[in-house]
Amino acid sequence: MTRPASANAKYIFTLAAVSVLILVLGSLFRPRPRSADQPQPSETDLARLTRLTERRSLETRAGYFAQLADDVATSVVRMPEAGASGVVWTTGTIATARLERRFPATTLLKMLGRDVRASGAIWAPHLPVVGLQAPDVAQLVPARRAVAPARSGDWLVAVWRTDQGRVFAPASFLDVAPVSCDERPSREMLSTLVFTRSMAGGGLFDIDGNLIGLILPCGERYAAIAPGQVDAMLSEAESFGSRLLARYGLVVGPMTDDEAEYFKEAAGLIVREVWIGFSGEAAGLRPGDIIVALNGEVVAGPDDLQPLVAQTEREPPVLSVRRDAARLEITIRADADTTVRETDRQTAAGLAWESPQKGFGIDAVLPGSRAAAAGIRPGDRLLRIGRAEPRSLDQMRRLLTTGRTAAFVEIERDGRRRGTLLKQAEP
Amino acid sequence: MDQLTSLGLILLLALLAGHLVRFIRVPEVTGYILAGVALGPSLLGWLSEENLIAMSVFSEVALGLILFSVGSVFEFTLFGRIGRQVLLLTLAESTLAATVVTTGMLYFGQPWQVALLLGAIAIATAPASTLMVIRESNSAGPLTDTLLGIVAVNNLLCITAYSLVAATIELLAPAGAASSFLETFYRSGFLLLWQLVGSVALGFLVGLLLAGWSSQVTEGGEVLILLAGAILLCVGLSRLLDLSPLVASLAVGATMVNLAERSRHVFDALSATDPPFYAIFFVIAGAELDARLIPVMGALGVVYVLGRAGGKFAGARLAARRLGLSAEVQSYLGFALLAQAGLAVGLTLAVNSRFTGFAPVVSTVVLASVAIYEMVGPVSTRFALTRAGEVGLAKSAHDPFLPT
Repeated sequence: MTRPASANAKYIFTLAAVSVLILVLGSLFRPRPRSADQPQPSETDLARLTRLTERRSLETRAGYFAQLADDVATSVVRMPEAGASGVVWTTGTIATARLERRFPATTLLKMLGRDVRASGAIWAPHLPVVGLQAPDVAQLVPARRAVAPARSGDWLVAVWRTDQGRVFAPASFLDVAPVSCDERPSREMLSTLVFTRSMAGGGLFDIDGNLIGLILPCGERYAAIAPGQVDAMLSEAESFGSRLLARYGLVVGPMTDDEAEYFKEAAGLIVREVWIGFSGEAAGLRPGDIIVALNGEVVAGPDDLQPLVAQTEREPPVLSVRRDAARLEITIRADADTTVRETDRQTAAGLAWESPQKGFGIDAVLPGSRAAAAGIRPGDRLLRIGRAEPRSLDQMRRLLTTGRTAAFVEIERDGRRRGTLLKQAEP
Repeated sequence: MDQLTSLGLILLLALLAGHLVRFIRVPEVTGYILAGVALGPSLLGWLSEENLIAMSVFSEVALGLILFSVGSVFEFTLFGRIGRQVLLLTLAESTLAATVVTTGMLYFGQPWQVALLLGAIAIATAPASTLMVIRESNSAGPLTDTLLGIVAVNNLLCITAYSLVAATIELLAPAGAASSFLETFYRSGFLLLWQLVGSVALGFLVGLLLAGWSSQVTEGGEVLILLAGAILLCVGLSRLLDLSPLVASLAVGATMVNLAERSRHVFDALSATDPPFYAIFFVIAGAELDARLIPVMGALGVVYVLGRAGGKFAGARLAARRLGLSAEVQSYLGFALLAQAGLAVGLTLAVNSRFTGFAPVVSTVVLASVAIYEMVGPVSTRFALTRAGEVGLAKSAHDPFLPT
């Protein structure tokens, strides 16, 4: 260091000033990070990103529903023979949909890789639900019921089983609506889903995994019916009338005063409906028949017919029936399946045709008319008036407008024959 | 692993490894690096990537301190004596290494951009491990002085060359939608000037502060606080202003050594307390080495490793002969220049963000070669110093090139 200290200081000061200047100017004129230096997404990239994000969120949602479905699927079983799913209703019972006219006495349950045979089906041909006893299925968890009612917009998931496994469909709850399925008033859980046959017997669950509906046939379509309604139907299926219907296809009841006067018979039960394809029809019973005795015992009220539905009978029961003036002894066999099958159809020359229909189709019923009062509706077929089975329109008109004060008519509707008393018109 | 635990583990295992490698006459630095490799994600995995990221601040501070020490080679009287030969030697070895690597890359079918980038990166010689080996072996003598000078200058040269190459690539690239030629020129040119001139200016100012204040401070502990504060300030401001912490720290050291009346006690205080930093620095450097890259570096990696080594050997030898330096310097200078580490890795990161298209090749080749050079370099430097007979000649443990 040979330079004088003052010169050094001067140099140093100048250098320091220059350095500060360089730093200040450099910072000011420093090129800002170009936008292109950053990965700047293009419009299409952004759109794609948005789509990916949305897709991801949808997948997450689907995953959530899949998890929910897995959780509730412990309460859903598959019944391959019945072609339906079923929901574990209470411990040891399963509720399912009745898709065929009859429900077999036993059916196979597929659950958790096990096949279990369920028996003791409780069903009736006028009810869409079937209750099954499911023995030895301790791992079947009864579905929880929702405590609070679902609100519009709530997420739901429908879960059912096919032969391939558990299937689910997310939905949004809309409303509870009164619905009439096969003339039966009920309550339907309306959602954004349209139910199909493959979903029958499945459950509709809320987001907490609570059951809010059982998917059942409702006329020509399928509907999720509120569990309370299903309970009511299941207990109805255990009633005497339902069991009689399930076994013999018969609806019987005490006669009204008008009917008693018309038939001139004070005691006995009148047959109101005979379901086609059931053993009652096969035995030859008709609507309007009056059951006066069973196995020789006089029948005064419905209780006297209890032996008919008792499980322990050995001999086929014999009914004493009054039809018009005659008294008939009719032997009736339970559970005789006479349903017409596809293979029984008449075929020839590659054609298949329906059996010719009897009676006359009713196009319209005037409101307030005596036919309407008797419950006859458009679409019914008129089979019989009193004793006569009309063959021509003239004959039918004559039978209905002249003659006696009232006429017991037999009509056919939805595969069942009904009898109803057509009162004489007011003069 | 928890940061403090891993830090303690690093220090103790580094010490252990340093002791162990002494038996096989390998520099402690290599022991630290090997400990890092063993602990790092590529082998044992005790140090996770998160640990390394969290501790990278230690690396930055340590590198700042190292370059501050290296910067003292620019002391006027010393550099006046050896400056010319250092510049010529550096130019020769750097140019030759860069040329050989670039030519080799072109020969092996790489695009000119990749070849030039790798050529520029090949110039750098690791200052940290070189300085540490010199310190550890108490070396002094013509080779030691020359070596330190070269290390200081060739890192500047490497930054310059890299900036020039990057600017050229950007200027010759098909004009992007948003940038004109002028804009690109401004950006690239500014970056070059800013990284050198701006960093030197910052380093000068911080050095001035340090020099002025250090004359008022005599107690060792206070000196250390002053020094740590200055270096942290320098590194932090460099990052803030997009300057080169390396050049700035070098400039702080250079300013300090020339202006402070009593610069010696600052450097003494530093060398008495900085070993833990350096141990951490080298263990982290080792842990960040990805030894798994070595088998996959392929022909390009071999070309880079051999080309760079060959260029440095030949360049140093030819220039030393031309300058009429001693036979020891002629024979062994090349060996001392092999280490390569931080700067090369840093430039690779820059390539990753600036030239994404060329990044995979450059990254693989450089990171794999660094893994080799980091392990071989210190051994080779030590070998050169030993063979040149300069080991143990320093009077004390202080930085050997300081004026006494």
